[in-house]
Amino acid sequence: MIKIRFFAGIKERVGKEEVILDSKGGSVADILKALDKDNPMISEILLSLKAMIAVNHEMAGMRTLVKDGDEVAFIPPFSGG
Amino acid sequence: MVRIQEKDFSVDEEIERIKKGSKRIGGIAIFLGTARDFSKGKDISGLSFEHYPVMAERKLNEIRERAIKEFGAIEVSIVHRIGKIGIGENIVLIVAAAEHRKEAFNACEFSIDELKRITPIWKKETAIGGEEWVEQHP
Repeated sequence: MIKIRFFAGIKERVGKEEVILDSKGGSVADILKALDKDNPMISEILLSLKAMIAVNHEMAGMRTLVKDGDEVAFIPPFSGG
Repeated sequence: MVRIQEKDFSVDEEIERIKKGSKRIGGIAIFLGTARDFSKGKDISGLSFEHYPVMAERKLNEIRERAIKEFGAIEVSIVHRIGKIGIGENIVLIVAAAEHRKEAFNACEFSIDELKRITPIWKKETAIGGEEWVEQHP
């Protein structure tokens, strides 16, 4: 199981806070492909909103490897402060 | 000490807490970010902030540790509010204490710049035309 989380504008566009993906892991790109199967347009939404990726609370990329139990977050550019 | 919280904070209390921590402090620089009523040509009636729990606190701790280690501060406190924030209210506070003013100013500037750059916190502005997430700002 991989927990996928969405924040701020991405959460509103996707319409979900999180998705639990039944997956043993792979790259973030693999995870995204699996997400797209049940959530059409999700890749396009993430691209249009300039989504960044965090794995287990650290910044990551599409090639980052994810394993069972990890948390992947798609997060928009920051605007705190 | 870093905190992310919904409730407002007291600038005086944060400064006093830092002063009590060391008698070597000779200068304290603060940055206080507040909610303004105008942004990108629009009248703003309110703000709200969301954060990524755990990751945001972790990043603020990293910033505090670097501000102390790399800029010579004795202590740095970072407090950021989340949830709904009215115009004129406090948003974020950096208190940087050092032996001398230069280290305090530098640590304070570094901390707020890094907070904006690497901390997963997002601002939503409410204007007459509706609500909008802010993508980036200077």
